Amino acid sequence: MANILVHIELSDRVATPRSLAVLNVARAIASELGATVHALLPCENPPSYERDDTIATLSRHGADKVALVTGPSLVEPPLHATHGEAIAAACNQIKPRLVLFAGSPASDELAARLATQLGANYFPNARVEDGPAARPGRAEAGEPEPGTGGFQLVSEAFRRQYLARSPLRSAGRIVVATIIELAAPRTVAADDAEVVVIHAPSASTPHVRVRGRRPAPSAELACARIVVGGGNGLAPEAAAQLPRAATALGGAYAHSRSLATREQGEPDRQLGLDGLGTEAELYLALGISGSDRHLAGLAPRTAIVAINSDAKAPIFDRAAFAPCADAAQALGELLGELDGER
Amino acid sequence: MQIVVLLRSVHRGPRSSETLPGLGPCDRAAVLTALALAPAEQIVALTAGPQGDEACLTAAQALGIGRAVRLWDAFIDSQDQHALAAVIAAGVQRLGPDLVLTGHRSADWATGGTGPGVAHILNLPLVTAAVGVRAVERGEASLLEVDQLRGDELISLELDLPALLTVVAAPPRAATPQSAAIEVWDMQDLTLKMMRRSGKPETSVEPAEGRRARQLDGVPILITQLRNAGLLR
Repeated sequence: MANILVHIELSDRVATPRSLAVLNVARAIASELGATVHALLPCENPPSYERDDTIATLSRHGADKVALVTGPSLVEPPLHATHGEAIAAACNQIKPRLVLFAGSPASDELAARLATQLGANYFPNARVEDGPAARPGRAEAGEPEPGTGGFQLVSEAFRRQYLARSPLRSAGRIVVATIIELAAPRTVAADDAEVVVIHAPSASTPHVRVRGRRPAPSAELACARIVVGGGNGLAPEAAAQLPRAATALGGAYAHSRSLATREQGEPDRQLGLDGLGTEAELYLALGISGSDRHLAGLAPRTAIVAINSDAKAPIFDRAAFAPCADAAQALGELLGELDGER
Repeated sequence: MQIVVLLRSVHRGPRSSETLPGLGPCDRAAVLTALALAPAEQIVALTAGPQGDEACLTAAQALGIGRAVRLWDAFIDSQDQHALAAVIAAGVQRLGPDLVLTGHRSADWATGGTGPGVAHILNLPLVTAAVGVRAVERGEASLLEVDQLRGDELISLELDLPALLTVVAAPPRAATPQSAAIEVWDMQDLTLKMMRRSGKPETSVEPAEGRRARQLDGVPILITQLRNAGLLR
């Protein structure tokens, strides 16, 4: 594996923390496999070279080289229409074996199409695991040969019931992945990265044009950052508190199909198959069992907090956090805590 | 406006031919978006899958789409995601739509890769994660105005047709169920000749067993944890 390319996403012309955390991941892989990390920085104008400039930051987070591509179309937010050709040009010049993006709405658009363009294997919403054969000398110690372990891309599938694993070392084709579940970024190297200028093709007539940006309506299920959902394990009087909880959290509320059959749900709030989906970062599941149909409404990046008095509920195998509490009691406590902070 | 909606039946597991009835939320939103933009007779629902994989098409017809096509050839089964995208792209090309819609992600593999792949093969403008789509006429040109969901923001975009959109959400609408026979096309119908590639990537898929949520001792600790993780502000 010769080159690893990490796409750097900018927000207000600063590299996002998630992009820097992916650089950390790439550094770890490259150090084990003897590869070079290229941070790909598409931007409208070249960044300044001051003490804490972007290029020094990328270097300190693990880039051996910063591949700088500039052009008038490379403005925020990054779209395939504005950034696609520049990223493809960088891949053609650097010829990476592995292309990493931080999992984000932008990378959903950029990475998926790039994978087809490069004929690459595509692993979205993956985390990188360091398996037993990643370190030199382990094979001699009787541990698995390269290609049977080592760094793996791991992603959830089938409504979080399955894990798909793919070893990086044995990948025959280029791999394009978007990485989630990242640790906080940290400084891991000196700021001595080499800058490489990539010449991108001049942008053709744009077929997609940005007309404006505005805050997403946080009370709408699809757009909310936080969703609080109620299921059959929630008593009727507690279920009636869901809208208030959503307002207190600055998010939206939802319910399962079983709550709808109790006539406590609204048609435009039912999450799951034949209902609605959400791109929320956080789902507070109150009295939700975690049926296959219901979990189909959650995005792969959504973190679940499960609160259910049934300890055998499948939701506990899919959730990140589970406070020990009855759902109705937890809802009351949550509202009390949030009200107390005001 | 001629629209093709790309759909995927929701499989119970990676090696299961059994499908769950109904549509994934994003695919359902794609169908509702199509029905809001064009009369039902101008919309075709298209899926790629073996016999028995019609659940998504039946569900689309229940929402009001009339014509439904299933693409399949035994050759596809051994091939990778790019070959699948190429077959779907050939199907789209045969139908020649102004607009291609699909769910932002399926409710099983959830990669969100097929739509962008088809857009690349057909060289179509691509917008992902649409939550609002409106058709507008500007002089002789037919355009779309699209609200794209980007985290906390909506990006207002204008795009030329033909184009491909992946859809997250759409307003509800009353259904007028349809029940036309589902057409089945194979690679000969598509006049598509494909070379055998190196097959599917080396990926193992296993049940996600043995994982349990991190137990927390009460709601105040939960709030602290969520704030530390940046999930609660």
